[in-house]
Amino acid sequence: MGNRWKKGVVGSLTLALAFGAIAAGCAKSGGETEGAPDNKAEEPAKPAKVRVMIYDRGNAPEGMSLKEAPLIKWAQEEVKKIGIDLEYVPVPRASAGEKLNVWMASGEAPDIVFTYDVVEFTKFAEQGGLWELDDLLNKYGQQILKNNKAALDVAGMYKGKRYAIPMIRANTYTGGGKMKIRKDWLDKLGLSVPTTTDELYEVLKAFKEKDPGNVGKDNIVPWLLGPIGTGSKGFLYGVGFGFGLNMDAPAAGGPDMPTGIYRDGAFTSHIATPEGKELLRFVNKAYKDGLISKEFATDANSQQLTQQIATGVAGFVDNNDDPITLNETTRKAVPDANWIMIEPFKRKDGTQVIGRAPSYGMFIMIPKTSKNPEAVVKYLNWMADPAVIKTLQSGIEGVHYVIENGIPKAKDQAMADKAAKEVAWYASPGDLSIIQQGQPPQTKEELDKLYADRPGYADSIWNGWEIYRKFGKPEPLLTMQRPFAQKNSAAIFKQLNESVSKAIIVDDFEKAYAELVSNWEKVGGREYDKELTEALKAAGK
Amino acid sequence: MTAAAHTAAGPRRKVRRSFTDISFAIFNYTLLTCFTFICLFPFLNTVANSFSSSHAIQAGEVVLWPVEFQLDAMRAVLLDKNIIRSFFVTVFVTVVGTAFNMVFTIITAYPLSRRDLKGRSYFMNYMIFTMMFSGGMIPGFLLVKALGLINTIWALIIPGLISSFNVIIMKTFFQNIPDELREAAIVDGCGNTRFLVQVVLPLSGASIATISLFYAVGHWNSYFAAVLFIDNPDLYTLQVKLRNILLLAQMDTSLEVIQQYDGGLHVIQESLKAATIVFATVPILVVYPFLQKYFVKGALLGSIKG
Amino acid sequence: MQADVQAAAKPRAVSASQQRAAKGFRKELKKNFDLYLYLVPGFVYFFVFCYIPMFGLLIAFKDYNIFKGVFASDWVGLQHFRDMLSLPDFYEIVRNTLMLNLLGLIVGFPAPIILAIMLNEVGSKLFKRVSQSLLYLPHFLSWIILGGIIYNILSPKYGIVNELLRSLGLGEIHFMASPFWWVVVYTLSGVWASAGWGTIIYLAAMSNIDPHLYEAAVIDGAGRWRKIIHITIPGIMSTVVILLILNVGHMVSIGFEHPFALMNPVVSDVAEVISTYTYSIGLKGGEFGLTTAIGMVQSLVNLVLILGANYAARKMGREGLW
Repeated sequence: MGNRWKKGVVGSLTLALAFGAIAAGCAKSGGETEGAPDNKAEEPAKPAKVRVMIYDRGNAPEGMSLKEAPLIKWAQEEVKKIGIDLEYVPVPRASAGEKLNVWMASGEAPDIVFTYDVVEFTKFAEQGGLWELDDLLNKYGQQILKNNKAALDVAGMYKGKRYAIPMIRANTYTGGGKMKIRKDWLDKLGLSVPTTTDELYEVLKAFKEKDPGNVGKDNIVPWLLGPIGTGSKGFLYGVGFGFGLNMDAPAAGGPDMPTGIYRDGAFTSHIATPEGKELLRFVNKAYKDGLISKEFATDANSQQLTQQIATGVAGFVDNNDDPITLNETTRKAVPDANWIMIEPFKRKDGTQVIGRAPSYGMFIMIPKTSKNPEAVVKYLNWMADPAVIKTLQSGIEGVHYVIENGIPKAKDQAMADKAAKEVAWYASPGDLSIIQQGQPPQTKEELDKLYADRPGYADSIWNGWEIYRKFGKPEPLLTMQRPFAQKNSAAIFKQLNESVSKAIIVDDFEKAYAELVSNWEKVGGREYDKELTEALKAAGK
Repeated sequence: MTAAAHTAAGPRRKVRRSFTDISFAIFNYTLLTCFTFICLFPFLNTVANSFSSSHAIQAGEVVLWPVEFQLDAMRAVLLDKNIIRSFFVTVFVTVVGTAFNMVFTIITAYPLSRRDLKGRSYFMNYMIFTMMFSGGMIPGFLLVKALGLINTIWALIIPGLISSFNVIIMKTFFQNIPDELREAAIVDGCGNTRFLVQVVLPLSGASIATISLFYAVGHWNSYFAAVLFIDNPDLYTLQVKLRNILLLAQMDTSLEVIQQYDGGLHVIQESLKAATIVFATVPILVVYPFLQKYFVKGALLGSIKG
Repeated sequence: MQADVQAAAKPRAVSASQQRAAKGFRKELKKNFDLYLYLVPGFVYFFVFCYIPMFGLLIAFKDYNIFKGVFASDWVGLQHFRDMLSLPDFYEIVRNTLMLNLLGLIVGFPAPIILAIMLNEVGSKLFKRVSQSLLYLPHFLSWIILGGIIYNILSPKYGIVNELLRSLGLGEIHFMASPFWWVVVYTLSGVWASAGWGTIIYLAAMSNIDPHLYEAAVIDGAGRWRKIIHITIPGIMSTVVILLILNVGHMVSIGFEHPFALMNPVVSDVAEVISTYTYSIGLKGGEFGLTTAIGMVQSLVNLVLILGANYAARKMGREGLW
């Protein structure tokens, strides 16, 4: 009995298998959407099909999805009027790199793709897989040329021709690492905000010795740092600038400190400059004096760093988080915690510098396999209209916000919730309005009105913007090809990421530093610098 | 007969060996319990996280028991119709995929287990070579595209249809079935197929259960194939969303956010991450206990021999 | 003239033995026709899904342009292989890969066998079932999570393990910052994550052992240990040998997630392995040629290893993979 049953199972499975194989062989892939749709016979001109890549960050609230999002539907309706049939192709954000590669290799890519990685863009341009955009922009993209001028001027070109439309970053008052300190601790100890690196050291020592937060002398972490350069949430930018380092070269994945100094016609990378040595010595001393967590270098996924912020034992940190975000977290444990952003330190020559986000964001590209590049540019052109940008970022007026005193605000909590559910989760990262990121208020008054119901918000934000306005310097964008860097920078910076952390935790700093520099030279650090010098010269610096 | 024989010789010996037996048993149980607990710990920690507040998780307060208990994370996961849909997709791929896998693995492994089959070593070479060398991600994608499987659910089933590793394990198990059985069957005029179906398979309950489990878990946990071959979010599997959240948490995407503070980048809360993991893991965990009854000590073997 | 005669004679002789061989094979085919038929789907599957995509190996010899495709891209010969050998930490990363894999084999291979034997000896069926199910739990949590948990419990300041050490008066150990301890943690965590999985195979093999053997042994006066040594272990030996050969055949390859999740800058000298290195150097920069070349070399070495292991197994009288 058991055997016959087994036979029956095997038999029917085999049948199912055969059927399935036939079905698979005959079935055209369900998602095949190349070419124009065939059910618009009544329209005189078939609308051009434009498929757009969109990031899926896995953060859709329950019941929502990218297909049903109201702004996406709105966009699709609107562009029908200009003869475009819009379709969105979601890609999980974490795998976008691989997906893009297979798409480009197989010709399956949507009509619009993008990346935040300039190396990826350069590779695609170099290998000849992108449409040239100069003519198309002139013909169909006047609004883009107007709106994105600041970004277009500095990014998206390869060998003198345009291959990408850079998204314009409307708010460049960010990036480069924000130095933040616990004002409540300073106040308790009667100290003023440090303005130089020496003052910072005194403050950190005072934190450690006097424990203003009463968290226990063993628990306090005056200076919050992470393993340098591995994507951790604790940078050395602020202090690095304070020692005189500059951002004279683009960052390339190395340690999180200002990249180096271009001086007397030559560029030298951070660690090889005397200023860099002083910086590392400073950090090494701080580590020895217990001002930095003994485990910072092994905090590979920033777990401890996050924990130290959440439990309120940290005093000073330099990363991309806003003080508002930190306050939200720390106040859950310490209600009167007060993180504030501080000005860049005064250097020996009296200047103050902070790195600043460039005017461009992601690179929008049209693969050569796209059949409708004109329609694509028309779509982006439609998007570059400030009114459209506003909708794509904030929602539909009257539904998700109303204009009060010239400021978009949620009328009530219900509207705010609706906006959060239907708009914010994909509009905030700028995944929809890829042509421009942000549409910030331009004056303090607007900001105050926007956050009238949240005391302290507007001031904190404005304070940050002022700092960037006064002292922010973006990194230079170099267009000259640098083959040595292309081949070796990954290895060079990998080497540095490892060595810098090691140099901080050892006792014999001089020896470790000498080793650091010689190892860096062995992997080609000096050639890298030389090539950069030439690129900087070519860029007219 | 078997039970009687055991106890007939048993009692006296049992009493004499009781001390060593007991100490061994204690040692055995203790060690196993410790090791089992160590294996259980991360999972319990994740479950506790899924019911704790994100702040408590970040502050490192959650160990084995929820801190600042909340049900929002679990509720968000269970009510999310996209997650539910991807759950059913995953179940389909796992069940149908494993069925296909088993059929093909068995019919490939059985001939290879027959030492009298001429030329089987050529096939072994042919198969093992594919375990060693692979063409890579892009050629694989191009092939699946050429077969028209992109964006279909079959792209998650057919490319991984036969695993050489599993074929080898299955073959090894088949080879453990004594040759005398086959000789007896030949005498009875039993052909290859009948022998496979009526003798080998019933005796291979444990191996079939084992390999099915391996394939099922493989399907359940697979992520990369789904990301590569599927563009339609309706066909996403559970792991696609889960992996995306986990990996995103490690990327620094802070400069991708518009600096507006209403709503913000809806960063996935720690508790939500944990709840998603729990939801994605629990269903496959309960499969194994059901398969365990096939691991009974060769009961059928004895009966056939008799 | 003589040559002609000889030449005329030879073909006939060859064809006679050839014919005998051909007849022999045809006879085999007829005898087991259905078995050969069963092998056809597998043959087709491996051809289509494994052999056809192998053209991708050509990327190792090309300056791969993803738009031109593999065949139209420029040929660069052995350039990528030369680049591989001149990579700054090449010998170090290979050494690390081998070391971690070897340790993993020495410690991790016996573990599931021992566990399976222990489980086999357990009297309580309920305990056995529950244990079996729980042991393979770590397999389901990705290393992203497991890595975080490991860092947590081993932290000198916040972790349970060091708390325990302090309470025993043994001081603190910064496990993840010490090259020695990091390797220990890596190896043990590898065992922890995969041992439960391996026990499933061995338990399945054990359930195939004829219970009569055990009964006969009891009658002969064999105690627990003798039963294990003379019945259980020999009974699963064929499975053990096969799995050992398969493991040796992967000695030069190493997964990416496990080392990556446990890595940190302080222990990079021992933690950097081929997979993590290729990730940061190759994939991020789109260096397909280099990564394919590295993969190809790994495959070749693995092939040699698996052939060697198989040969050794057969020399010792065991049945190998083939």
